[in-house]
Amino acid sequence: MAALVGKLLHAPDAHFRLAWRAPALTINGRLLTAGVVGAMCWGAAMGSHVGRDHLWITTLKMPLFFLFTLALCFPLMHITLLVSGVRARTSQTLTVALSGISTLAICLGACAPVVGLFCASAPIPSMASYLNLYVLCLACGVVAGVAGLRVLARGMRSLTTSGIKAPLIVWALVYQFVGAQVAWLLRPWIGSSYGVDGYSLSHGLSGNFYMGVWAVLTRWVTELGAMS
Amino acid sequence: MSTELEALGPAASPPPYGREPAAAPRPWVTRWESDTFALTGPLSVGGGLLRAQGAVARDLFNGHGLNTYIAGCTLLMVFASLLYGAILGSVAGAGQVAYAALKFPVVIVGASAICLPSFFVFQALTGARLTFKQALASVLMLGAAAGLILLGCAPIAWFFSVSTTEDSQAFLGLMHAVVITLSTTFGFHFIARTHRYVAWKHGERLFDGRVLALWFALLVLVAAQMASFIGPLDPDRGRVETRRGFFLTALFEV
Repeated sequence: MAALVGKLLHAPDAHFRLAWRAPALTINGRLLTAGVVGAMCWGAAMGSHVGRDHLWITTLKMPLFFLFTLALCFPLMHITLLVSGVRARTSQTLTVALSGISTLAICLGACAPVVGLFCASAPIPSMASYLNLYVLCLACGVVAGVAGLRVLARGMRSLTTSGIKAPLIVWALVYQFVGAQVAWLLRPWIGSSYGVDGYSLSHGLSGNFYMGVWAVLTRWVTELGAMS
Repeated sequence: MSTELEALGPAASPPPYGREPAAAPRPWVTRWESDTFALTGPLSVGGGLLRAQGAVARDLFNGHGLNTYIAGCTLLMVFASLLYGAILGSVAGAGQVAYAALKFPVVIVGASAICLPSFFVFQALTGARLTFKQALASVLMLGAAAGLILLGCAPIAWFFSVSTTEDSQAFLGLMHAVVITLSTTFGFHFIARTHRYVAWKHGERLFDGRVLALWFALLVLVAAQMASFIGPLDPDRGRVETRRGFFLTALFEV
């Protein structure tokens, strides 16, 4: 497991060369385990801000978030790869996708101790500390996302000699688009916002991420207009 | 001296006057040229459309296995539109699922059937060498390729449908419109590339490019009008209720 993680992080090309020779089930199983562990660490760090039930709920929710998003996006991701001229088997597409997501989750897991410290020591309830933690998590997410994309690109390149720009962009956009709504469904993450303690599916099912963003933007514009 | 020249062989003849030397094929053409695909039955057609588009284009041009392609593409098109129709209907509750699942294939298959004669006649008029069976297979391939993208997007569309509350109908409508537009565009893209590939490989026109583009616009208009008439996207519509009116008027009402 440690060897696989090491190779995935510092020599993704060698990782994929090895992956295409090894049994797909073994490789994908290991990647899945590494990703789940990384995501759980990150979830625990985020949940430590509120503590109590949030700690273990967020620890479980985070790998669920990554895997559920992947399950929803996978058919479209595989079709995108095929029509872009990358003649990959389903198991190979899964290996590439899991490699990217596991890298992302491992990077987040590596940031977890730092984020955990800030989350556990930030005052609560405080909107300012909530926003600061939000920005910190966002910054970690961006760095981890770039690392994940880099591995995804290497994985696609190991399968074809033709261009991979289009499928890579489609994968990133589709995963982000669906992931935002899955995150909305599984909220809250850092805090116990909207007066919800723990997790409630009915709360998650209320509204829609994109409509929520639209409502916030509209409110800002209205308030700015009212102020000026 | 003359012996040395003879040993070199005949001098390369210059290109004919006014004719440009053939350009190097684009990467996708090279890829299509190397595609191989064994058509084993109607259920294997989807795999061919995804993995070996070049081989499918060659089969279409040569008329190989057209009956199997027609059967496979019809199955794929109907199944994909049935599934996506059910997802469209799921927004309005369980009662609407079955009706939307039936209405959406009627829109897709109906629009294709209505536009097929015009496709064949206008292609033939502009000098394209196309039999009616090839025309039918081409239209169905466009629908099947679009259906594959619909199938790929189906889990995402379903998830947004079940996780979005009723006050976000505009968002869902927009999302479904984007998905349907993308899938249809992919279907057209496949047929347009088939045309360019055949032109490159055989120097012949399977289709006329301009007629193809115009016909595609007609297909979109017909599908929009059928959707407006039958209403699989309208959750307020009665189960078998049709509504007369031009689709643009209905669109502006939304």
